[in-house]
Amino acid sequence: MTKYVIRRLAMLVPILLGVSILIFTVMRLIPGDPARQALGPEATGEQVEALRKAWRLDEPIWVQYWAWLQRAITGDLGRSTVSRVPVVEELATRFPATLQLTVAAMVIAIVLGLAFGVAGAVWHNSAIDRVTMVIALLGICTPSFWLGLLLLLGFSVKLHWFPAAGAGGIEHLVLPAVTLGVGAAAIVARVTRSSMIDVLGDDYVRTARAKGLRQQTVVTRHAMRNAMIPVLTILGLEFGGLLAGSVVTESVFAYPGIGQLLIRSIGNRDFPIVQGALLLFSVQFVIINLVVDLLYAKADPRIQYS
Amino acid sequence: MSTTLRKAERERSLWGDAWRRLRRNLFAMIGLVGLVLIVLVAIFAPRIAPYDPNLQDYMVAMKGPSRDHWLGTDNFGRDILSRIIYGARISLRLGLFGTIIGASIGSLLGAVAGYFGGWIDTLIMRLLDIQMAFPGILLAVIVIAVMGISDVNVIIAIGVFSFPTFARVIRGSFLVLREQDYVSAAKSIGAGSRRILFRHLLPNSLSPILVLSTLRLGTAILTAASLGFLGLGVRPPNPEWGTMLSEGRNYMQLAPHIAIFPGLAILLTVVALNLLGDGLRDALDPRTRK
Amino acid sequence: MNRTQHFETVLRDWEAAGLSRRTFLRYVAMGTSAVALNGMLVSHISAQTPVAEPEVAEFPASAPFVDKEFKISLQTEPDNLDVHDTTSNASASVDKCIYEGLVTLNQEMRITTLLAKSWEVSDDAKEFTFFLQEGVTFHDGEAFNAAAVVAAFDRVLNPESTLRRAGYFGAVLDHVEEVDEYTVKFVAKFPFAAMVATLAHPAGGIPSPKAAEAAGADFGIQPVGTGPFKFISWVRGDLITLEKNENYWNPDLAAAVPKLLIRGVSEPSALGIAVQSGDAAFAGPLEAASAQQLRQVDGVEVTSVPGLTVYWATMNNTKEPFTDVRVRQALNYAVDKNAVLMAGSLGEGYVADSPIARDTWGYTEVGAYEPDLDKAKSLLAEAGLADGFSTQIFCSAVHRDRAVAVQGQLSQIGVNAEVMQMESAALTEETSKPQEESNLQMLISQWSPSTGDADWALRPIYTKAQWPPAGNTTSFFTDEEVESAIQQGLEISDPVARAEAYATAQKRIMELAVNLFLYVPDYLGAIVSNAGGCLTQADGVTFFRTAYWRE
Repeated sequence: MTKYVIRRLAMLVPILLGVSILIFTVMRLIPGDPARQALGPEATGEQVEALRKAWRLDEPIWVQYWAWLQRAITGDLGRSTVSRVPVVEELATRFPATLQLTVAAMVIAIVLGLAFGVAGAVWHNSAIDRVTMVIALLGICTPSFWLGLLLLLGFSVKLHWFPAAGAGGIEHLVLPAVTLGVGAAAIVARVTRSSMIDVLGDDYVRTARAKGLRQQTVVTRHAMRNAMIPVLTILGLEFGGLLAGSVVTESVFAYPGIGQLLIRSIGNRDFPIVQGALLLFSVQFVIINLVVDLLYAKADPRIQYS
Repeated sequence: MSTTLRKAERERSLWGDAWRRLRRNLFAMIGLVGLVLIVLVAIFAPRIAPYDPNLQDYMVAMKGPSRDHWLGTDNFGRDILSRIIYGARISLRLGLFGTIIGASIGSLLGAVAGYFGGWIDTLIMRLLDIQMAFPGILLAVIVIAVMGISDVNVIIAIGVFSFPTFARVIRGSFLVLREQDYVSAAKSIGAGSRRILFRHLLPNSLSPILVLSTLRLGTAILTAASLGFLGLGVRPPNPEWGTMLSEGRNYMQLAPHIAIFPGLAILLTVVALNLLGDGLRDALDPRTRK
Repeated sequence: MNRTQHFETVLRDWEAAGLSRRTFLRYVAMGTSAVALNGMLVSHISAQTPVAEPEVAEFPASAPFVDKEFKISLQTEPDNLDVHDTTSNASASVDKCIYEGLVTLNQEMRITTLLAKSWEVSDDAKEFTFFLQEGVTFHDGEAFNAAAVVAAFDRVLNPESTLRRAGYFGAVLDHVEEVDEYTVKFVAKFPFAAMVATLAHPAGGIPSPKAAEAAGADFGIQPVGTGPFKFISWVRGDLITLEKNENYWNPDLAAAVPKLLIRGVSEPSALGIAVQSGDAAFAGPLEAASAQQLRQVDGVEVTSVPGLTVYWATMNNTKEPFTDVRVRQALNYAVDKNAVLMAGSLGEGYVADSPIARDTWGYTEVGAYEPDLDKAKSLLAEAGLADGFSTQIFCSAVHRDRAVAVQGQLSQIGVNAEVMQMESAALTEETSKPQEESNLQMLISQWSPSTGDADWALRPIYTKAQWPPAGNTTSFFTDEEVESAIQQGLEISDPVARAEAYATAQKRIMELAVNLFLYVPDYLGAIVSNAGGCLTQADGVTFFRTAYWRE
């Protein structure tokens, strides 16, 4: 088990190397000069040149990459070309906000998704099933930025229930988390439903029923546990999707997370930040997948890792 | 001679069965009809649209829905309805070509990985892991940043965004198929890799590709819209729906209709595609066959 | 350099009239413009009486203290709070609360003393001696004195420095030296009478040298100055917290609120909503749509200041068919600028009737090209383009609506313009290319003269020396008459004649239709009715160190 975890974590190394090489190359293909962007329109050509030298942007790309890699191994990802703040610190201050947002969205996805999914399966083919599934479908198909703007308009402007922008207390989290979580909730609902329907038709569930167990017990004790495996898979995938979605959601709500920083940093050609943030995303991705796989084992004793 | 005949017959019945099942599925039919309507609107846009989508008329700028302008006008006085109608052309085109590119690259990679296995499989899958490791929309943003803002580049970005999903699904389906008897049989009579791939495996993987394509088309349209929303979509003044929404976001309070209707258009189109995609999946899924 | 020449010519006349060189330089050092000096000279010569001392503007005194924190939303988050390492308006806005200069600009953008009690200027206008306020301390408890000023400027003038304001000071300032504990001398590289104005810019704030050295590259997130507010925290991407500096040296200018909470809100509609929903007491600069919406809201006042910025569409004067003046004029006639103003800023601004904005010194009303499609078409026909032509309009996201409006208007005369929207960094790369390599045809662009003077409004945009990559003449325009008028404006001393030279240049530029001139936008902000002391100024910097609550 421990060996398995270590082996999986070791896979991070080639992935991070691959991602960093890819980003390093791609960022330097983008038209636009970080030094010019950092200095602003009034800077003279000489100033820009001097800064390019100071940042070693005039050297061949592999030399730059090697220099970056050597420092990166020691945990130094450089400094933002815009704020001059160390990348690690810039990410560390924003990461909790993004994590809060994604976790809150995840909670919404799990709670709503399971409730809708189980309801749909238990009352299979009834009106409840249809209504919940139509709602789920709408959830999947609604563009999140549009939903965000509508929520902003309704709950912030008209009703004054929640603040329009920023982060802080739980009240800042509600609208962005709902915006972000609805899509995932819908997917979770659909997967839960179909998985539950399969399981409810299985022999052991029928046996349980035949024994005269109450519907509630059958669903929660017997069916849920087994129906959870595909749901777990989709949750793992969706968490990655939520990270991606946070990019857009954070812009709509001016939410101070990594996603917004990334979009702005790509615009500013702030290479060190882009590099650092994407590496962070990769690490998250690998870890989340690992956690999901470990949860499989919990949900299904037949699965063992060695 | 007789084997070909029988094969053709079998194929006909596979798709025929699917169609019969699809027809019985109310939601799928709603999706299909909706999609057909949207495609018709796109094709006949110049006849249907009441105005030129780019005609600026400042006398009626920022007006809400009215008898003359059913969905109102934007800050240039352009008719929102006409822009949405023409926008169907753009959004469908971006989604369709983007998905085709993604499906082609993805299917090819997945087929190669699934068929050959071994180190080729490992290599391709690790590369896909790297790609999957960062959010797709960012990849699309970076593609646009590198290549510039234009229709073609949005299509490429969507292709890059969506090919890994295809690769994974096709690989999975190949892993199963290549162990099937008829493949072994073909191999044993000395059929080449290419022949097995294209004659036997690909045709048998068509139904997952088709189902996935329908579902991913919706995602592709949403991705194009997201790019438009981030200001990286098609070139103005082209009425791509996401771009229209982004143009309207400044006016959310003064004239909310500018952003609300394009959003609805995206929603309805993607709903239609998903209804149809779900229906297709059920219809083509061997497990649901009775 | 050019401004220097201008001052020199005025000085020559000044001395010829028997006035003291020393008085002249003192006035200059107080920020008196060459134009005003000329005025004095003229009145001296005509009246032969000594001129009155020019007033140094008062710094607005603060209102009574109310113990309630004050929230401000800016359009963008500051990039960096090291006063010598930013060119962003948002950062300058916050820096004005934390740092103070020896001199500064007040809300009306006039020079006032702050950390200096007074100053003297050497006869050759190369040495500027400032007498400092005593008993001032930085937020970290360090004493503010001559040594601190010297250390602060040594930091930015260090040749190794990559601070963003290194060029700003390095171009004119040779070094700074300590005379005694409360006297400091700035030595210019060459006679440069505008030194005091240079120091009054927000970038002239004095950081605590000790804190700056200790923090190193992190000074941008740990700023320390002498201002009425001290820096408390910055949750990156979210909130900057400043607190009233209880040890502030001047009770008259002390903070009137206990805390300033500053947030960047990048979603334009959310910025306006922030004031409306009570999330912020002030928000700016606002989009026109938000401002108009907020005008209808009770309890919110909208502030509006005509900008110094002019929007236009550049036409590449070296590329066919824009080489033909008739084509450029035709395009100017074809576009209804009011429509563009409507589409781009919902009418918040005015149609440009000169290449420069009304509040720029030296402005002359030339008159806009009145929309006239027939005239436009006949001009195109004369140029042999009766069927119109195809072209491209480059723009970044901020100018998208203006580009689309121009594109729509031009289609009326058969000019088929493709809007080439680019990411702004990519567009900057394109606009920095020299003429031979440039792909530019039309480009939606703007200019805002930071000096408020016609010279700096015209020279960077309409002279050959400023063709990219050196400067911003993206039209690649050059014309002898315009060049010589701009040069004259610097060389002749009579303000009337100088204004005439600029008038000639403006008329000529308009006549040659160098650019397709659009409009001048207003700078908008919103403040809740029970607050005051905040304003987004004509240069786009938001001023709020005087923020206060009405009872």
